[in-house]
Amino acid sequence: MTRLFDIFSVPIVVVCLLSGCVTTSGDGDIENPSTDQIPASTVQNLTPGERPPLDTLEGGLWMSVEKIEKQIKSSGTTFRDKELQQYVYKIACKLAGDYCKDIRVYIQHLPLFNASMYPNGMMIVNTGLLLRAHNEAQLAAVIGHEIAHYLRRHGMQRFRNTQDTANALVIVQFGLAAVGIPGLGDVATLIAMASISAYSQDHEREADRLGLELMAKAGYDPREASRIWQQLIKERDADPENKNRVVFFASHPSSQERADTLARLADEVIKEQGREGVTNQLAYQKIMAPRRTTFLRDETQLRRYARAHKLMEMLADIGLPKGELNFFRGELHRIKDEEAGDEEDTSDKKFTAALEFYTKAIAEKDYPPEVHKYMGLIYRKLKKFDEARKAFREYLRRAPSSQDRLMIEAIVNRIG
Amino acid sequence: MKQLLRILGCAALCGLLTGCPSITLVKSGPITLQDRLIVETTHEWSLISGYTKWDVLTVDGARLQRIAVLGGLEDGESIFSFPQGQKAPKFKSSMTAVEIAEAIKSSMALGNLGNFKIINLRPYKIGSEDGFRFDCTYTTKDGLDFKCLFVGAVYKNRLSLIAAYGTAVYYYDKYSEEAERMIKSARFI
Repeated sequence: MTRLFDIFSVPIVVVCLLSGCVTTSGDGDIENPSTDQIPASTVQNLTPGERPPLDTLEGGLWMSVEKIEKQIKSSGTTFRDKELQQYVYKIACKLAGDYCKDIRVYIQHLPLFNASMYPNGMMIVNTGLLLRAHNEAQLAAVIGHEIAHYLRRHGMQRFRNTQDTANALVIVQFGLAAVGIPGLGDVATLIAMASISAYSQDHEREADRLGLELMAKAGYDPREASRIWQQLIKERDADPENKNRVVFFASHPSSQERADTLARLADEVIKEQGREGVTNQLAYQKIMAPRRTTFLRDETQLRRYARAHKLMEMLADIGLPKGELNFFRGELHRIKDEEAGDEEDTSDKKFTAALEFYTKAIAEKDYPPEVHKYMGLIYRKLKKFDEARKAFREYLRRAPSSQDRLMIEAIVNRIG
Repeated sequence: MKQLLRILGCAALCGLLTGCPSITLVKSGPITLQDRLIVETTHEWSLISGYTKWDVLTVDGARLQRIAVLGGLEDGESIFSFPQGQKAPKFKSSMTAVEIAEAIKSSMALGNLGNFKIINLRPYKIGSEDGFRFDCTYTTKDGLDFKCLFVGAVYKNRLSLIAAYGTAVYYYDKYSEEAERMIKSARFI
């Protein structure tokens, strides 16, 4: 099977080895930490403004990453929103202290929960993460984790380890082949892969601990680090396709272990500091509000139905606008493909479920006008033409300059 | 036995060759695309077929400009090809133009084409068949801005689409008149 736009697009390879990645598949003032607030072990590894000499392995690595950064800068997936970019950068600066000037933040218009940090200070934050974080403290937890990767030079360490492991593997495979047991080379490869994976898990644990310290020192509530992981676990567990995931080769500690450890560490930090810190939920949601429709639409288009429902349910629980969330939950039903053999998802059932959510949406003040358009489309399919006409007209009344006005008018005329 | 193996080998090779993507030169005049649509061209075009489910006509290279034709998509098929396991919107013959346009937009987003915007979705006829048309813009992953237009119709329960793409600077405009001529001349077989 050929891939979409294979002949037209230039693929950008995400060099995960080089980057630290976070993936799964009370408001108030916040201090700006100085370098001396960052644990000593970190400072001895990287100093603010430091750039490795070009003739070193690390210097070469930075050069390669700078090429990736150039592509990211002009990439069509970069979310060009100055206000949002500045907001996220400001949080990164609060956490990074004297390293602030060494960090650049790029927001990527990608709906998956992800953030990554490259050895040269380039930080990538996905819009999928911004949608999922409930408050500034949760975002700071992830960003703090990424900054920890950077300060501890994990990208460089992982690169060197992978190189060493690959070299050792070649020698082992030659040796095994020489004594007449080449088949064992596959076993050696598996062991080598597991060793790289374990190595990166150690980095993740270290970044979790250091990231948590950074966020607490910047004045955020460290318990939010564990909470964002708990949210991800709930989302993942809602997805039937993710339940049988093999975790052996995952580059991260299991999410539950991670959440438990972070919760324990947060309690220790709060005890030490004698304060709980802030979440800045109001400020965070105020910034996200005008962008949320876009992020929710992206999430819906991924067609991870069960997961997306759980996510939207959790967002509703923290008080985000129910009109918008119910609209998108209705959309998840409407666009659900009827998979072969899936008797639960007949058209009538999915349309009824969609209409239920749309009806809940329009009971709120803050719903998008498109709700009426999609109600119209469903009523038309169900041959309820009066309701369809009424819904389409309401849509056109509420969105008079919509880009599909002429088409909707034509549909209404055909209904008669 | 050797003779039989030779014959089988030749047959296998022929099978492989006929399934391969091809690039051919098409002269100006009427051309039949995907055994479904006839369009008139006034240029010579390179026709790339067999690579994806779309036939692609280009003069300056498909990365800069192209006119692509999808002959007859059946129920349950996706509009573009995706890697296995990726959930893409699927066509259903009961879809309205609004839903088809949205399926195209979702597919574009899944293909990492940024900021795909539909402009002025409106009724349009391909031959005598009721269909739709919209203009669009998007940005490629490497940051190039594109303009595009889609024209489509569901004919005998199968979706046919003609799409013209080109860089927002220079190439789209260079071929827009030719694209319009081809679209106006399009007829179902």
